Amino acid sequence: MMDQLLGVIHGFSTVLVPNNFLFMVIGLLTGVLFAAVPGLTGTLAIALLLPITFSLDVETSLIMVASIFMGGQYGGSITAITVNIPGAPSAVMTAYEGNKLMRKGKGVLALRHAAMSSSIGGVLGALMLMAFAPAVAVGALYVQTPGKFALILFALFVVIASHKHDLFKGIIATILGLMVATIGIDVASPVARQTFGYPFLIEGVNLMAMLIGAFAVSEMLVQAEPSATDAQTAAFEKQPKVRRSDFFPRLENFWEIGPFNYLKFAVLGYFVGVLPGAGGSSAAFVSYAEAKRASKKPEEYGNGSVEGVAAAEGANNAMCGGSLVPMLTFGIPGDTTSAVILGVLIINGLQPGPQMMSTQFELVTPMMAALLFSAILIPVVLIVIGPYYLKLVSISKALLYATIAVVAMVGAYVSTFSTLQMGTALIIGVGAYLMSKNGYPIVSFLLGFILGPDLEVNLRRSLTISDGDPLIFVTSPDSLFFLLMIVVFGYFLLFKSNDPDPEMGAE
Amino acid sequence: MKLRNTSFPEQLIILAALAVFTGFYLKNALDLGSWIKYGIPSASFLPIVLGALMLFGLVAEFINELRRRRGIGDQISTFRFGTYYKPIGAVLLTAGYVYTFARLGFEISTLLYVLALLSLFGFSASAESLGRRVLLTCATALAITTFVYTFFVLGFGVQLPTRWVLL
Repeated sequence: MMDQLLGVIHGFSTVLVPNNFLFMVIGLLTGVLFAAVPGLTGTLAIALLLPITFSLDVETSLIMVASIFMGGQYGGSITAITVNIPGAPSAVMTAYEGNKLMRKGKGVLALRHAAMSSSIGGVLGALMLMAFAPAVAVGALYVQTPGKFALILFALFVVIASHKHDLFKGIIATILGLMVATIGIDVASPVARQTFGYPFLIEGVNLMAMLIGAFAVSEMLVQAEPSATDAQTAAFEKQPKVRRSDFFPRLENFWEIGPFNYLKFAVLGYFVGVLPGAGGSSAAFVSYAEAKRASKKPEEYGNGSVEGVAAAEGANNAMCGGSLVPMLTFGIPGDTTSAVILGVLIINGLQPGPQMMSTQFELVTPMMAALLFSAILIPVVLIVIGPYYLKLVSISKALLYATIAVVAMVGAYVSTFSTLQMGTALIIGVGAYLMSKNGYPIVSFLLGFILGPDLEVNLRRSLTISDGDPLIFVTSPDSLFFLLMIVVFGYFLLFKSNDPDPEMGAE
Repeated sequence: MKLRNTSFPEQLIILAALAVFTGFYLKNALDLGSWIKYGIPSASFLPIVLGALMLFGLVAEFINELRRRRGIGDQISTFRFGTYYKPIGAVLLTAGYVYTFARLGFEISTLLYVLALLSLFGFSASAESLGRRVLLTCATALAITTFVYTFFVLGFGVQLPTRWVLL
């Protein structure tokens, strides 16, 4: 307990070092700006900045990515409210309520509520992460090899099941990720496999090239299509101007929602975030639905409800802390962004899991503290750049994506100083573009790729321990627990859930 | 990012491409030898299992897609090449950039790549004259190249294959 407290204090003091604080602010602004522009996300920002983490300290890198994560969750609300275009998928419910307020001339009120709720949700989520993650990590030490296999299987299952409206596409995307992960040297013996006769594939597919391809290159290809983006950009320019003082937080806004509701939204968002594959959009939707159910003013929902905005934004920012729990304690990311953050950890030589949480806890506490500080700074961001939001989203698409394309390709080169990785990023980008365009969830593909090696190692170790007897997975209590969880979640996610919107849980 | 209601041929092309990849993947896996050695899984075990599961998934999705199309009629079953010509252009330009990156050096290859991408995306299409458009595009391409160089080389000390020093 004392070590945990000291670790947390170390985290706060590390973030407050001027250089780290600067990178946190840069990260927060980057996340907000990327999420505010439709088509760009905080995840893309982290993927693009991956190469420069090589030249930063691990702690500084993690501080920056954590603040991008927080900023990315909040930034989506800006265009959601102002022009009814969610900058990020997690801002769909915010757009639903917030833009109606905007049309009634209460746009600034909605923006203030979004910022305040994001801030409170983010702070509570970060505090819950600090409080519970070490305890989960201690519990994780009791999970043995068969249990680890069953847990990874459970994570993959939940991710697939969260795309239940395109179940087979989810399965195909996950298996494809697992297949790509098997390319290279075998995880348990010095055998090169699945190289298709190309010697350069012996090293396997580079994680950075994978992330850059899946997010940056594929997004550039999406934006190359003739689409409605130009019309959206034109719509931004019609919005009226507002004053900076309009963006200052008001205490009356806080009491309008109430501390109990803020806490409820944050707790819901946090625990939805803990579930693998759920993501910010699920957190926002669950919280919104609960807020509507318990509301004293249900008639406002659907007509512009500040409570609805607060519920969605509080939950999706609290989700940031929740989604880092399985990533840090088991190495299993809760959503796409935490999958990319996992990539940052791996690329920097860290292996998330219970061991890391007990022996290298001080390396991750600055990241947790950065989540908290970033959340505190959200209302300040609104005050500083609020008036420029509308100008921001009208940046020329050509300028934006030409820059992103070059940064992405050069970033892929920097990963191993080889043009081979640029080619790999391009191929993966084309594949990811075609997959996402046809409804195959990229998050499933990515989680399959990242979790594949661990899945195989634990599967083969378990079978080696049991002399090839697969019954070890049902006789081992921890494994049996996670297999039963698959059954329970399968029942609720596939048969009992009444989610009416096929896009809602897909992020 | 996710677009819905893509045409039936597009879905079929994806499924066929995945089936071809799975075929090669399974052949490679089977070439590795037996999937169980001395009673425990070998290096080919997971690839064979994944290949088989993938084939099952592809067949299931194919049947699923047929059912879905039957349900919604044939109204969106046309292949829209127009959607793809710009992305294909972007892919070709990027492939050219990868090819020339080390050969021409960062400065020239990046400048050409950005110029081509800006043109593809229709940058400054509303400019009053062609001359002004060309000038604006060239100046922007130079600015982006300089920005990326500054970001990586001067900002983070990354070495790029340069032929000339920009700054």
